[in-house]
Amino acid sequence: MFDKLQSIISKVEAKGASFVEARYDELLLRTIMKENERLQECKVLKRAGIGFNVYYKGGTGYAFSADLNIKELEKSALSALGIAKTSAIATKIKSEVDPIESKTGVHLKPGIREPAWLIEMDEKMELLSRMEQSAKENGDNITSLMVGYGELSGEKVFTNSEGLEIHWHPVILDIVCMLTSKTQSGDLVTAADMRGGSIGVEEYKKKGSSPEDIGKNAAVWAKEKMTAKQAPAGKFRALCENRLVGVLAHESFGHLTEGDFIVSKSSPLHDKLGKNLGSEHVSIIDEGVTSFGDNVRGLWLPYDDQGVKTTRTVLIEKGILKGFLHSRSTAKLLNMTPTGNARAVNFTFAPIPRMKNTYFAPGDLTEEEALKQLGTGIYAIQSAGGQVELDGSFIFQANRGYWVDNGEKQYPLRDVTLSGNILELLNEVEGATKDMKMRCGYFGGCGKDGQSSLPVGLGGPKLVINNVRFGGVE
Amino acid sequence: MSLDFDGWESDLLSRVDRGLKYGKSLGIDALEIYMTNSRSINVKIKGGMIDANQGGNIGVGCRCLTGKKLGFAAASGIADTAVNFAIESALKVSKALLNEDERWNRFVQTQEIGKDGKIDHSVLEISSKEVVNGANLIFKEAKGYDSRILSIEGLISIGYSAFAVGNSEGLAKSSRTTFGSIENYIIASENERTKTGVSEILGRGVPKFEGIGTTGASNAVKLLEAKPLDFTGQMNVIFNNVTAAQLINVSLRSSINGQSVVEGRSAFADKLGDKVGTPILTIYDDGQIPEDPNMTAIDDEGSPRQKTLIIEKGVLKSFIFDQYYSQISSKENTGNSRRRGPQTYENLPRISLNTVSVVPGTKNLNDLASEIDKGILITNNLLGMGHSDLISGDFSIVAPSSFQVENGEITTPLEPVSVAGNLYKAFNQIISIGNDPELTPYGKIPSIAFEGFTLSG
Repeated sequence: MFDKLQSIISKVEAKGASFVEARYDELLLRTIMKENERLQECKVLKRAGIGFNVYYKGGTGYAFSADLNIKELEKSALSALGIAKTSAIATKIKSEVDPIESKTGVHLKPGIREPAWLIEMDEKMELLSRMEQSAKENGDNITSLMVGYGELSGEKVFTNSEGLEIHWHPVILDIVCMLTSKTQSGDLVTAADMRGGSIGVEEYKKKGSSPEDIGKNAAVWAKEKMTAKQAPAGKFRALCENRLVGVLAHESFGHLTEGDFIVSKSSPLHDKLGKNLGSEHVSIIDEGVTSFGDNVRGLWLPYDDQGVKTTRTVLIEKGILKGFLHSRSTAKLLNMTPTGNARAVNFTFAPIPRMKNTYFAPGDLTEEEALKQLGTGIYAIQSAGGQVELDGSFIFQANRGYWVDNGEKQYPLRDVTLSGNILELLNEVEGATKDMKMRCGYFGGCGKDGQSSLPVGLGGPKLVINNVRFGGVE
Repeated sequence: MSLDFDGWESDLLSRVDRGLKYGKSLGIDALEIYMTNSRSINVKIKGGMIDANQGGNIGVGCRCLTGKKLGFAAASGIADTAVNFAIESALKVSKALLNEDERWNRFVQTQEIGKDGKIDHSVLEISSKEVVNGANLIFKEAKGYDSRILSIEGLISIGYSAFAVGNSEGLAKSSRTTFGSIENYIIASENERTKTGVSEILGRGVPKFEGIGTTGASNAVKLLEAKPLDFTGQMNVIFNNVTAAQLINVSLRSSINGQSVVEGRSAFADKLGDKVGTPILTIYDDGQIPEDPNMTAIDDEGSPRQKTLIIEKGVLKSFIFDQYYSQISSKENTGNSRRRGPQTYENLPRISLNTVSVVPGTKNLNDLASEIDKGILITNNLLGMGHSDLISGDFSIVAPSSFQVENGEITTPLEPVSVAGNLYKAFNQIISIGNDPELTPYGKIPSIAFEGFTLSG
């Protein structure tokens, strides 16, 4: 494959290209979804193809092909050159790359013990049955029970005009349980739990991560929501739980640091490097390979889709904006170093600045101390995601929560909505706990620019935040 | 881009036919093969940067039944090796499953088809160069509109696709479409304050590049004068045609979906024939709107696409179904089976709304406002609509682009307002329906005025 790609690169260079990147992705995906103990979906998916990113006098063009015949590939690479030539005339901002050290013979495999692709289908189905059983035993008045299993494996090969040669094997495994219960008054409430990341099946043998634990959590949380009250509307002090903090790190802040939004000045952060954006309790990191130990595993991403080794990128350190997330061309435009953030969800897309594992760094509080510091307000837990705008405004749904009075949890709340502007919110962060959690999965992920959904990691500690606007009923 | 598009449907049908014969030779009980080919040019505007790509999604997805056990597999490419991989893998999956799904009956058999939409040849003929120039025009127009325009993010997508479905019941059908869309987010900035203006177009042909940059820029600049609403409590709210489409679409996504109905997740499950909205509300699910890229003769498992009456004068008339759930609930298959894109072949068909249309009233937007003493008008876009609780119907959104309505007049632009309510109760809160439906990715829906949502801003 490497030689085939190199021969095409030479041909495109001969026709004037100043730089060519070629990428081969072969991904195998397996999904099992069940609802109410019936199989909804059981599928195997092979996704293989090649993409060419061609640079010509400051313009770039991308073309791809699922047909691996050499003639088709050449045609595709040349059409990328054609687009690059047109873009070179129209573009106001030039895309170019600075040379980097050219590695060859890199072959990397993830450090997992029991790869999911080696276990038989009936074992995968059994993980789901155990989760269902546990949910049923612990739940109340369940109207819908959904469980899912997702697995991704494969190989990525990258080469370019510099002769770089990288092979690595991505892996993601995830199980999820979502259930709906009906309250006495006929309302429906939902809860979910999941465990995923660049992990092997051994993860599901750990205490707290077994299918039984996940099924039980979803059931117990839904049961609790059956008697929960609506969250009040208005501004309150908040304690945000780890997964919700992860969503804040990724969705509301992380996107604003992506190099393409910085270069185009669409991000309000484009002129704020070195400025104070938040309280001393705010440090935000984006990292390709995390090292929080075996119990906190996110996404394993050693190289990005331009063949750049991923770095630990400090975005905010104690409130000060320190860095951005770059592809090779956005790094050059801003005279910074590539961070290994050029990513594409599959071969049909050009790599663009995307996040790796994005998280708030932990602090030194225990959960009890954090509740005490919160005093009176809302403890907001988990999130299925949210929506943000490039001006920093965001809205998130926390799946559940508690009303807290004088540091004591009083009663459970149903889904609560948080909204505001991240740049104001970061100044209101008053403390962080020391416990760290990361979420990464097969289900869900990042959907920037229609490239959905790219596996990313996100997480953090619990954060005490003042002045958070909650939606809901007044 | 390409002129060999006319031959695609017959090429796909012959490959589907070969695959079905191969499946038969493996002794498969029942097999369905879906195959698609597409080409598109996508140009992104990011500030002054233009990113363009060109390529085609091409692949095959197979559903295989062994007894009543269903396996699915897919592969990129439509070469015989890719098709055989998908068939063999689907067979392997179906054989490995332990439990039968006794609700499985048969793949689609009907020979009926709906109407195909018009093939717009402008899409076949346009070059990547012309699209890049179009993007450049949008950028220049928006930048030139006002010195406070800071940046432009946009996406132009133009292309065409064909697909074919065949199965062991003897079905062999195909359809094709052309599409062109533009969406822009234009950012204006003044005194550290930034506002976003949105503009979009959707259709079957090459969209008109002129004017759209100006529209988005003027939407953004208007908002720079925004003032806080300074109010928390109940008020009447007008959603303009773009935002009403989002609200109505999200409210129907789960409530009328046959799968949600059967599986116990629909709030309307036991309301067929009941009054669920005001008598002025009539809603269709429509797969046959001529200007809509979603208009195809068949759905993604080969049933005819059609126009289905969902709510008539406030009364719930029908849910939407695919083959599997229509058989379980002994209802008509409404042709709502869809495989999610862009790699449609990678996804199992699922029940999905076609294009939602609301029968328009007679009033324009100003007339709707004239009936309201104190309220707000929401335009452009909504944040958080997609995260509504589709089971309970509770929603809480932020409207970043809204205006005050006072004594029947649309007045001051507002800082973001949060709006809370219940999607399913909202149908009964409709005061008035406008006369201005416009095709958007969420439906073809006019402006709608609602009574009493909870506002905070």
